[in-house]
Amino acid sequence: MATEYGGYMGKVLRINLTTREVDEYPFSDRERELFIGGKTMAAKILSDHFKGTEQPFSDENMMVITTGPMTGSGAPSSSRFNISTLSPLTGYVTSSNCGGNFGYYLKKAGLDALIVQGHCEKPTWLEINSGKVIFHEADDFWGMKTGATQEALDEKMKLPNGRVRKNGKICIGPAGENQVLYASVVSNERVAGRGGVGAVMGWMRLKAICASGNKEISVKEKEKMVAHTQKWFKYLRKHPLTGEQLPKLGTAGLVSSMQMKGLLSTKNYSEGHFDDFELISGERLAEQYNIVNKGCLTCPIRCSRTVEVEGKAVKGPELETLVLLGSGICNNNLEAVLRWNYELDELGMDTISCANTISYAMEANEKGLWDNGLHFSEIDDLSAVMEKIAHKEGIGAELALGSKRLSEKYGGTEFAIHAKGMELAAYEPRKAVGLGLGYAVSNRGGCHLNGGYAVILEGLGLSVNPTTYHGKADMTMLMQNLMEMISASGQCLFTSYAFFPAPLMSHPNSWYTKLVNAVLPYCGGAVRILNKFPEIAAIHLPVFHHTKGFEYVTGMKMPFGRYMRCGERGYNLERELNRRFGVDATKDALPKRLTDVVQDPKDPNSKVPLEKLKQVYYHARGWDDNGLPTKKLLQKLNIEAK
Amino acid sequence: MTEEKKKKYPVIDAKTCAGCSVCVENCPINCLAIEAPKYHGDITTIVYLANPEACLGCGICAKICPIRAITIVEA
Repeated sequence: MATEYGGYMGKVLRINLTTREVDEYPFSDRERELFIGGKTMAAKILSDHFKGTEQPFSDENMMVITTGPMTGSGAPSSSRFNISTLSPLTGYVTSSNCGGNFGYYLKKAGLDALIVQGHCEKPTWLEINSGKVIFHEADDFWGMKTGATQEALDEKMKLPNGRVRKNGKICIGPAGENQVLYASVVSNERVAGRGGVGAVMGWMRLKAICASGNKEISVKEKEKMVAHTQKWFKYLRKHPLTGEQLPKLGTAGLVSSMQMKGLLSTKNYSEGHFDDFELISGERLAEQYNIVNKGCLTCPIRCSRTVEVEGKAVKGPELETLVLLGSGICNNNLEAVLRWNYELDELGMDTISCANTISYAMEANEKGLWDNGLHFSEIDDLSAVMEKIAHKEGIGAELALGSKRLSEKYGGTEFAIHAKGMELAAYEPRKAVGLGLGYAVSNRGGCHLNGGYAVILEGLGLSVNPTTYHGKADMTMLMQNLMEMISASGQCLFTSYAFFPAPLMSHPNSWYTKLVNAVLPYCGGAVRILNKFPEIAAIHLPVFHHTKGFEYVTGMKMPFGRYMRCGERGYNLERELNRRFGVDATKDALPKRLTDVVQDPKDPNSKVPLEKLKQVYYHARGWDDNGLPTKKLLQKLNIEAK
Repeated sequence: MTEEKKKKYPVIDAKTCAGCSVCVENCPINCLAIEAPKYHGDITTIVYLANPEACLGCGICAKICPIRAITIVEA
């Protein structure tokens, strides 16, 4: 439906792959005001359809690909798009966000979102050219890896003059085709990795979507936005995290800090330190392997690395891959990690879930539960194992199920490191218990970002006591709501790093930083007031450029308080949606290794006091004792319960 | 007429440009490129006219730049 707001293209297309019908899906300005875009817009669309009886691999499921109003608006780091669907890995709704160029070109094709339903009889790829949908056979592409698929698609997009028509793509690799439960969707070099969105696309027999067009992405107050963006870019480039650490070392730069703080997941999360951490550190990556820094389209931070693997320049690993395929399996061979990272992207498989499933299997073998031939620190055959997973051959067919299902079959649930069936990220939560809470309650399962990323307060940005439960639940809620809205608006979560005042980051040992670290755990009450009544903050914060930027792009009023309320709405909407599929307090769980066993025998607090944290968190959220949003809360947030 | 067009070309303000690459992506004939060095303590990003001969001087890059770091000038 057409829109009065800037930033939106005013059109959502619904494509039925079975019948090949294409129609416009009504999404009104009222809905835009409430559900913004990105994962929240997708949750609203899914919420209007899902009853709770649907299965991930069925025609009743749908894949909703959304952009946000900021996507392609010129705002920093705004090329993001989101894919939401019913996850085959968790059985709940997942949202997977990606910085590739597909979202940008989807908007240039005149669309805010795509809803894909049904399945194709034969492998198919879709061309979306200025809003027109064309179905193409993909027999030739089926079986191809993601790099070759994207090159082949570019061939198809060649113009008579030999140039390739500018386009943005998403595609799956062999893992998606074979419905590996944690298969990813790839766009350029970037990946929508989590929750098995690639498996759903593979079940649909949809190999790729290619979008192109020349529509202008409108900005309501262009001149003001240009001036604001100039300031915003400068701010990001001066900030110690977004202007120095991330450009200098990428996300891999956190390895050394994580080692110091006991956060470096080692040997399937049994420890938080790795003796050979320097060999897999961001510093070593930068010095010895980084060819060039790279960034997503529209991003001034440029945290991505380009490295050389077998003579080819390819994307370097992110922190998660580096840690989970490094210390996670007791491997200090960085070159091997670079190669696996490339191979997993080529196969179209989530590096986090894959690595954790392998480390679970290694431990199960070590403990005599499952004779599978995998051993910690023995890495020679792992490339072959990954190929087998993607093609579901031999042991790969089992590993393709993920750690939860394997632990149910072979035992060892206490060391199958997942939440709601999705494997955890690289941060060992026993030395960051706020993040432990986040992992457990996160809507899409074991995710550090959806979980609120409290670890930035607990050691990686500030140094708040990492094992106290004081204040953590309220801060987790605050961060979750904030990041939910940044994501919904179409921007990268790394832009939120600038929310932390620069002096606190650049002077960690100053008296004022120490004071903040000491006081913050006791500010839970004040944070709760802000969480409960965000409208009191009817202002624009000088360190948070997002709200003014949002206003200039869309023309909607968006002071900080309303921004936070929109984030809260998004978080609760996904929770309500997952309730229909059986989520309750019992599902907000972590493996016993993290809740019952201390990481450091000298520190009795070095485990996640999950039940205590959950209790405070539910109360802060206004949920009932069973961890579900009350009717009153849903009503207040304009969320329809089913 | 072609000669006239060829006389125009983009000048990138290196102090302002943040290397977001929107101009590179939107150049119709791919004559802009991003020079992305390893991090050396200062980010001097970093778009440059890689193929001045091919440049049409169409001005799309200047129009699309979100921070107006590009101006079109006549040779």
